[in-house]
Amino acid sequence: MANLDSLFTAWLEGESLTDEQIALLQANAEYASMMNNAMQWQQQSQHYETVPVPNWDRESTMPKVQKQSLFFGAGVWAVAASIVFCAWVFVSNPQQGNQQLLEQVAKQTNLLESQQKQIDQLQNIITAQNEVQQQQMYQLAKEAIKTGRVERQEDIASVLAYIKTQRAQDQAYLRMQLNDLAEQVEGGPLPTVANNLEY
Amino acid sequence: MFFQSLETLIAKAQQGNKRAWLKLVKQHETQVYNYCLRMLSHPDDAMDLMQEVFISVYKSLPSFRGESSFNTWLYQIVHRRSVEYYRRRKLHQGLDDIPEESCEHSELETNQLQSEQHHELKAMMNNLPWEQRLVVELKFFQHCTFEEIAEQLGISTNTAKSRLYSALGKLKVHLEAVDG
Repeated sequence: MANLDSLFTAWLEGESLTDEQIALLQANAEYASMMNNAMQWQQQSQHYETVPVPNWDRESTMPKVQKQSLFFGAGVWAVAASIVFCAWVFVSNPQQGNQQLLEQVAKQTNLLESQQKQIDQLQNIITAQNEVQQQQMYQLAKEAIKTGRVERQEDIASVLAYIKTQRAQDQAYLRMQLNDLAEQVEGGPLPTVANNLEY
Repeated sequence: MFFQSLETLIAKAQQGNKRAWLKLVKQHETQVYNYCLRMLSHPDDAMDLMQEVFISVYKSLPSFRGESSFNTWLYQIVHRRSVEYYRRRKLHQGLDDIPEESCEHSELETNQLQSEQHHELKAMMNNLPWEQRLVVELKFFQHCTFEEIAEQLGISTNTAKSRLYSALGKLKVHLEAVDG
């Protein structure tokens, strides 16, 4: 059996066996069956048609490089560039540099002043807008209260009118009932008759 | 200068050369994809696994010293990733229980599923436990010796052999069941 096993292993490893050795393996039911099954797998392998790879993003296999550091602190770069420029102006021609710097400062001051003026104007506009808005809000509130008061008065008046109508109807009904009673007791003894006086 | 040897490509890719890496991927993607397809039987799963494999290879590439061949090294990663993938998928859904889709396949998938041989192979593979499937793949499709299988899977030669014998026994049962 050990011999058969080593033969079978050798056969699986692709070693060429003699006809006698193969016959030995085929004679054993267990090994013959395994040989057949192994041949099935070999056939599958031989006839396997390679499936082409669908389109895919090969670059997705590469983790992205952190580029954030390159753009880190754009403002810092701008400041640095300004400093370098100023230094270059001074170094290249100090007098001209001073003149240029003074011009630059004057320009900057003008710019700042005009910006300040614009800011003041904007603040005035905002304040005026706020006042207008407050007045409008006050008017609106006043109107709402007034409308509410008139509506309430109208409601009360209608309720009073309703009550009056109801009261008049009740009185009429009572009068009718009293008249009925008076008619009923007309034929009866006098002490039992109520004084049915109309208001 | 159009042809670059594998060693050159690897060295360039190790230095961060994007083109070399993409070329390396292109050279090996078909075999890796087909391996994944045979193991998982489903094109989408095979695609996912292949992508995971190449990400893993890219990350591990700087540590590749050429002590073994690139293919051996690559397949060691493929096996590890495939085992992880299989376990992860098994947690959510039994891979062997995935029903065959009858419609809405991509053209490629349809062609593949329509192929009778692929159907048969898929059935044969699905009939095997994962460990035996690995051994069958390495033995019959990668044509590895038992020693190589043992080395790749980190098991003894005897274990590799017994797994293959069991797989061959299971095929017999499967064929008998198919034949009725």
